[in-house]
Order: sequence, then structure tokens, then C-alpha cells
Amino acid sequence: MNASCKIRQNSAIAWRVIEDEALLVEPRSQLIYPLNATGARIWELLDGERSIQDICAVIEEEFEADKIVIGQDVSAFIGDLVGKGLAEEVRFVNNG
Amino acid sequence: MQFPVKLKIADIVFAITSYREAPVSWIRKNYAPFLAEDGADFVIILCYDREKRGLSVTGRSLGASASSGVKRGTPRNDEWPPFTDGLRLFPFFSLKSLETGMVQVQAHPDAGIVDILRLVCSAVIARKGGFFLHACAVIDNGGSYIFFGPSGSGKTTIARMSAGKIILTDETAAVIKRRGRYYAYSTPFSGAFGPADVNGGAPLRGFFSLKKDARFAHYPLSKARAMRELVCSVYMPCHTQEVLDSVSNTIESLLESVPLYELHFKKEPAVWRYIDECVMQNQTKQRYCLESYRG
Repeated sequence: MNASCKIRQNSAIAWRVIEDEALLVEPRSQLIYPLNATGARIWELLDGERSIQDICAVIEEEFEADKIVIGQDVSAFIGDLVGKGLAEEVRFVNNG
Repeated sequence: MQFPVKLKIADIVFAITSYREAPVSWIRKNYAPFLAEDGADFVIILCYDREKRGLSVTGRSLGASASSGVKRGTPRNDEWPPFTDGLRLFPFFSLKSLETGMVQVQAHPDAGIVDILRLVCSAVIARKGGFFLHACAVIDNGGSYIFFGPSGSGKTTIARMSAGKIILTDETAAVIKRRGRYYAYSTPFSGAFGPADVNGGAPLRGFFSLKKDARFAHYPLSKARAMRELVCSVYMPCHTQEVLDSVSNTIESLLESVPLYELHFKKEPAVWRYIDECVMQNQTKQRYCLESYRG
């Protein structure tokens, strides 16, 4: 996914953090997605305001890993969340 | 015409009124140990609507006419389908709608009574701070043990290896707090082992996430992992934030007082000896304190 994309959580998803890990519950498929601590932190950052690049910067600060690896992994992970309908890209409509 | 029946599950009495006789007859015939005459804690009114592709549940005020505004479906035939066949239920309701103590269920005539009851009862128990778990539950020495996991994990196998003990269920256990402790109860929703012949429960001593293996072993699970495994096995009436929060809060509170292990087991009756001698005996005992009774 493009690093400048802004992504937000799908508001229909029920979720809960337990000891840094998260559980996401998708109401239509009734599937449960567990996320580890890194995934849970990324999930929390999907507020529709931050770009993927911004999220990578937060993860670089909070987790011990190579910057390039983080960039690739976070982008792929967010792409997976979007693909599963758990998150969605924020699209701005210019009516002007 | 209305057909009533009362069921007692986990000490909660459900008064069910149906506009069709067949589901009530089916309940009377198949859920005998759970039939009750006590005062109702919750009222379920079953209405049928051919145009309904799923199921809707709405809260009703006590005293309202049960028949007002209800479209009634024509029975498809004399045989009542206990299980929904080829029709997916799309339940949606809020736990808040259960506050009145009464719900009206509008379902397609092909919706199975077992599916409807399990759904509504699981919502009521969630509202009361409990849940239904896809699990086998057994009483041994006055305490209950819950064995859970997906289909094929060994729940019915454990039930079959529990001769001489009280088998509450091999399919759906109710978990709820009573008198300050969590209890496991039997439910009428049974699996391959057959219907429960006991309507009752006992204080919970332990949870076991089942793994079939060629050896006996057990491992305590982290709170996060335990929560994840339990949530995956809980019957959630609908997958909303409200229900997830309710169920998670109960599980979090439960894990403070009841241990949860991953249990690797082989298909041998010795599994109970292993549980008694290796798992439960090695738990940290509670602090003994009766000093004030000593002279």
C-alpha cells in the first residue's frame, strides 16, 4: 500500500486489548482475529488521521527492529487488514 | 392460540410462548430434565414470519399484548425442524433490549428451535454476566471442570472417559457467577454424547483447552492466550462491541479465580488421574487461617 494512505478501523469491528494483545471480532463472518502486541499497537494507530508512514514512525520508536523491515511489514499488515475488511482507506472527496 | 413451556437453564427460568405447537412439543419431548414450573425470570415469545430470512429479536414491555402486530407464518408441514437447515440466522439485537425481561423473536418458520433458543438464552446469560461455552463439563468431587476446544478436539472423548462422574454436557456449558463463585451448569444443548440427564451445576475448579496427543501434559496459559482461546469457544449471540465487552469482562474476572491450562491428553481413562494428581494437586493451596479458633 502507498505509504501516504490514511487508514481507519472498520467501525463495525468489535475489539479488545488484553495484556497488549488484541482480539478483533468481525460481525458478518463471525471470525475472530487475534493480534500480537505489535499488531495490536498498529491497530490502535489506525485512526484515519495518520498515514502508513506516520504509523511506521511510531512503531520504529516503540519497537526494536530495523526501519526498512518495519516499513515493509507494517504496510503488508495494514494491507491484510484492509483486504479482510477489518480496516478501510480514508478517501477524501474534493467537491470544489 | 399460544403454547407455553418453561425451561430452567443455569438457574434461570425461561418462559417460552409459541404461536405454533410443534416447537413446544419438541422441547417437552427432548428437554425433559430442563422443564420447570418455577416463576419466570425471562419471557420469550416465538412468532413466525415467512418473509423473515433470519431472525430478529426485540425487547418488549411486560404486559404488552403478545399478538399485536405479529405476522404469523403457516407451518410448512407437521414436522418441526429442530435445527436450522439451509437458512442462515442473521441475529442482531442489543443486550439492552433484554432489560424488560421479555423478548419477541420473529423468525422464518424454518428456523430451528434449538438455534433460536441457544441464541436467545446465550444473550440473556451474557446480560446476566455469564456465557455459553462450546465445551464438555464434568462434576468430580463437588467441583466442576470444563474442557473446551473446537469440534474434534476431544470434548465428547473426555465425556466418554468420565465414567462414574456427573457429566453436565459434552457440547454447551453455561458459566455464570452464583453466590460469589463461578459455576459451570448443564444445558439442554447436547452433542454426540447425548442429552444431559442432569440439570445442575457446581463451582468451577478449572478450565482445560484440549489438545489430542500421545502423552499427558499441561501448560498454564498467559491471560491473553487464555482469553483468546475462551472467546473463540464462547457462543456470542451477536458479534458486537457490547457483547464482546460483556463476554470479555466476565472472562477476565473468571480467570482471576479459576485456573486455565492447555491439556495434552491421550485417549485413556487415566486422564482423570492425571488431572487429579498432576494438575489440581500442584496448584498453590489457599492460605490456611483459623488462628482465632485456637485456644
